[in-house]
Amino acid sequence: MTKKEKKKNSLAIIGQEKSDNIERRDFLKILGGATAATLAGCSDSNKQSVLPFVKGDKEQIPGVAVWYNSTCTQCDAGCGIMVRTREGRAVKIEGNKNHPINRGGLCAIGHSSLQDHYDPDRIRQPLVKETNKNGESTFKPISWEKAFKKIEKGLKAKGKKAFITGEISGAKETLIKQWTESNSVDHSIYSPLSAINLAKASELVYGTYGVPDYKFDQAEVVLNFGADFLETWISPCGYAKDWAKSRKGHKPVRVIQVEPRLSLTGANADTWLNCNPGSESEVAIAILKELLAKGHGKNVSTELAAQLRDLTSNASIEKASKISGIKKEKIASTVKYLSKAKKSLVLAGGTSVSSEKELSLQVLSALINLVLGNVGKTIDLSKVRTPKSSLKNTLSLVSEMNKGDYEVLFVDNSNPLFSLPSSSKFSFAIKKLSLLVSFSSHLDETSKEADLILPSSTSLESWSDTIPFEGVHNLVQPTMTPIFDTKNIGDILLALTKDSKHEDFLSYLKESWKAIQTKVGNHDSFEKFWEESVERGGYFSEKTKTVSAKNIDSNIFSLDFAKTSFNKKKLEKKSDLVLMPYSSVKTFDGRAANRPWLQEMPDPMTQASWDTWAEIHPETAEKNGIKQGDIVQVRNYYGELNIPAYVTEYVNRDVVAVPIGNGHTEFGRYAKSVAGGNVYDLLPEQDANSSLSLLASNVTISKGLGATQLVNVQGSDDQGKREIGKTREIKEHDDSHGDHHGGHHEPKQMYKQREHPLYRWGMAVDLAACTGCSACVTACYSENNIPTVGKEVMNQGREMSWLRIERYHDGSSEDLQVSFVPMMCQHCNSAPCEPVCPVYATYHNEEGLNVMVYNRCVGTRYCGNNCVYKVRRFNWFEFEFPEPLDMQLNPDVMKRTAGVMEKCSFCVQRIAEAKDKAKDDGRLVADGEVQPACVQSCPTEALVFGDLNDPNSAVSKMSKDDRGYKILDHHLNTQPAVTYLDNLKYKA
Amino acid sequence: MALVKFIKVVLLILIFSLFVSLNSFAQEKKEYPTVGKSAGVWSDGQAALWDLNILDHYRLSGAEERARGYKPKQPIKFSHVTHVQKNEMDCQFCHWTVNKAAFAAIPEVETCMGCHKMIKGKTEEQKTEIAKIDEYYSKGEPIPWEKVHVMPDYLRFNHKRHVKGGISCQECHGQIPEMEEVERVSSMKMGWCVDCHREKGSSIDCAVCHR
Repeated sequence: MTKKEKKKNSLAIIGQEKSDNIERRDFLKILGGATAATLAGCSDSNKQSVLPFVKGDKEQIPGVAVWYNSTCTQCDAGCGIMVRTREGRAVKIEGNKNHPINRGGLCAIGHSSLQDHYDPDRIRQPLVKETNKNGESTFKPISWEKAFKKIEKGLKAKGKKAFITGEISGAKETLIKQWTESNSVDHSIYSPLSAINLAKASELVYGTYGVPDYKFDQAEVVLNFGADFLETWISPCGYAKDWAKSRKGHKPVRVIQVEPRLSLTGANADTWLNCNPGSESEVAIAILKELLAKGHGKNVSTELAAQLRDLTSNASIEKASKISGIKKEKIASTVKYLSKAKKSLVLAGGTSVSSEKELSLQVLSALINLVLGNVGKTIDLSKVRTPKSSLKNTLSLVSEMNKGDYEVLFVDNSNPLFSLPSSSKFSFAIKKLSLLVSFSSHLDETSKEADLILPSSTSLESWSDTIPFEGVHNLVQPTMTPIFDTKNIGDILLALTKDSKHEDFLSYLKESWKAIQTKVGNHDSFEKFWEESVERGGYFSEKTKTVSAKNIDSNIFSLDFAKTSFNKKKLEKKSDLVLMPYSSVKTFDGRAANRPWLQEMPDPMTQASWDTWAEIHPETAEKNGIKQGDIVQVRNYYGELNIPAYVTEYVNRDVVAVPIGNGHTEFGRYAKSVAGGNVYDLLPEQDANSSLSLLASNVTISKGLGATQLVNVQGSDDQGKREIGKTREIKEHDDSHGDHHGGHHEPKQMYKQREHPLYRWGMAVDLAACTGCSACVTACYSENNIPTVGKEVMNQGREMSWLRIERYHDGSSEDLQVSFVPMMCQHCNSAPCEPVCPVYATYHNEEGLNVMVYNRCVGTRYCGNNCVYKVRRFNWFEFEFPEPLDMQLNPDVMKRTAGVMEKCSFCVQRIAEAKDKAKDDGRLVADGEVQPACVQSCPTEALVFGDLNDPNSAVSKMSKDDRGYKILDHHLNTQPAVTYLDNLKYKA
Repeated sequence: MALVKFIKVVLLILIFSLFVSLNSFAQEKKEYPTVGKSAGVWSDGQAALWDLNILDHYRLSGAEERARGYKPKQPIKFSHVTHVQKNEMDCQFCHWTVNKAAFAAIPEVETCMGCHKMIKGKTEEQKTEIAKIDEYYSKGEPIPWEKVHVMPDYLRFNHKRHVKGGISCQECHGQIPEMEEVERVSSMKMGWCVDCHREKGSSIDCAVCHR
């Protein structure tokens, strides 16, 4: 064959008989041609339309973020938020640093409310249930007008009507009251995790109904019976801020936590006293007795002192120790610390004490506070939160519904079918209704049963206000137009009342704010007052009156202070195991279950994700033949759970702890993916006089059928000698923090070091303030378009989080030391990942950043392999953002494709934005101007970011702190840009 | 054999002279502000001959909208000649966000209507085209303009920084005032960007554009 002929045939050769004749060069040519053909195939049309606004809005510049101040409505804390919008859609939520409650931070639940807003399973238009001939019912879209007509017809019904809502306040409350009264609808408020007993005890002992404002930063010692104030209890962001302020100060507050399961707050406390479930009252009464014996209580009347002595006559440390299982010395030393402290604080609350006898415990802790003279010092009675939830009303409503008295039920912002125990028979009650109307924006268990759904807008789309306590008037303003055909609940009710005075809920709200203006004594014009309030996110008055404790209600002496007993109804076998449902930051009371960020976020304590589990003590597990990760059947008369076991030393031997909020049968794809059963359903019949008693029933456990994999991202609980999370002891009577080791010294280097001419970005992490609450993890997901991968991929160790919280247990269960270490890319000066990249996709830039160029990455994964901190993540797949979750994506950060490595960038887009702004003003970036998402989100300001080249920047100062150290640097000389500061703990 | 050698040399000379003539042809058309001539960039912002970026000048493969010469058909026959050259409007009158944001946004339909409420056109063609704006505006719909400079999404380009740094619009977009229909005149490939950044002493850190 001549050369010419060969050339002719070369393209036809592939797959033909002449393949043996190919010369090497020809083969390469063909290969080249083939590549070109493939490339041409790749280049799909990139043609894009560019759509301008129809009408101009000088506020909306394409590419420039617009921020709105608003209020978080996820729980009743009432934190201020700032919502970042781009081109008219909300892309990020941050805490408002000028808000009196949270002062900058925001918890993971607050951050993830964006995913509630962009939930792909949200109800998109009004729906009506239609039943076909076969008895199958489906939801069909219906117009608002027709839906309103249906409700009007229902309101004319002869039978009784009722309305169940969650906690409400502000204008919405008055409107609902007005509407229910004018239509003779019975209104009932139900929220499963309510601090009603605390509010009642405060009324009985201090004479003021409500949850007082606690001043953690003022106290020297905090004795805490179960209140998880750093995770979900009442107002965790605000409390954590005060707690951290004290922990970072000269005289850190000593926290003594008494609870049967180590909560996040317990892990951050100095001492964890593991008490038997329900025995807290015994400990409290013994402490009260000892304090009286030590001469405290001179500030109370002699009559009361005598009554108290009488009350505590039978108590003793020995008895308390025997019943609670806490060592005598530990109780005695607690008394000693409380007695010595000038200001202290005693708290009780949370899920671990929410039993039938919670009120007794609350009264006792209030009495201890009274005896120690804490009222007015660490307990502020002028700012009380008044929870309105009433289990009593709700239960009587349900029982009357069961009798068939009710015909119509409305439900808003509450999911009683999920959160009321099945023993309340709510599921039977709704069958007797002729019309069930839901105003929920999600197709949850209750809405699924509804006959008519009028979806309400989320708080990011609507106007409203909340008043958490006196002096704080929060405004909620819409940050974008509703995504779907939904309406503000206020507008729905106004349309139903045919109120001619108010055209919409906004005008109703404005009118109620006129009253607020008069009340707070503001003399500006209303327009000015309103505009300023909207801009600020509410109106916050500083002036507060002082309220002191009034006379005690003598009824308290007739309360039963003995150990709680538990429901043993028809247990299969004799068991003293107590079921302890607890609320975690992952699912809260169940409302946060359909958010992939929270489901994927490892639980701070167990480090488990995409699952629900039963925490069991190793001895109990062994006795029942259960191993780590087995499916365990938790069972009582009322129901059963089939969930993986998490065997841990950090629960009491008599406790099976299960997080609340998973086991949804409806609500959405993410919530439904975590099966196993709803723990609310195992709760026995409730005592109607208190709030929902969670710690109420004995259960039996046995090894269940099948096997599952509890996904746990923490490889080892033990950090060995690696010194990742370091803790040092706070010595008493010492102003400085522990021993000096002279600060972190940069070791001498042999080679020429990198130069950072202008900026050198760096971070400092104060482990003494880090609670492990994981707000930063969620903020990072939100800012950087990090996909959630789901349980299976997570189990393969392929999670995508750029920032994780490592949790280590050191010491024994007696002398426990828990360390939380936020771990993100350390931006090493001598990074192991950089030299191994064959394509220069990761390199060190002049500002000290370890930059990752996604479009350059070819996915060899050498860098991930070489990273000692395991912070590099590889995109194994192209992850989905089901519509409309994709609307949340931050347009400043690119969405990575499959085959690309990614990692923490120190929020390089925010650095660029700050530099851009500084350049406009002709200056350098100021200290504190750049805040990566994690730093901004931190409720305790444990993370600090800035320029290490500036010796006066906060991060420079912290990096030179005595406590500073760099993780693994002394082993590997990676020279990270992140400095960690030792955790500080008192000796337990 | 010598003949073959001779032919090769002649061919090389021929090719070289062709390139030189092409180059000088481009130099003659010196209506655009010059950019980085000394760095070997063509005066209209194109790549140097002796640079591999010469390949960027012609579309060899890939999508047409990613190469110079891309001239999409627009929904309305908008003429920059009429607006900018004849009526001497400033670029920033319509593209008002160019010194405020990363995007030099397409003007709102309202902005068009600001003038075209009164100006309805003289010729038949003008009248029909202007009537289209009216139609979009009254329907409350955006005009679906075709994007001329389609950029990959791993690229962060900031118009504000360039305009404030004294780069004129023409330096990258060419003589828009002379275009009846807007066309992409620059390759806008990375080498083209980096050449100018080197020339001006601007940062060539990857993270400036890729993040």
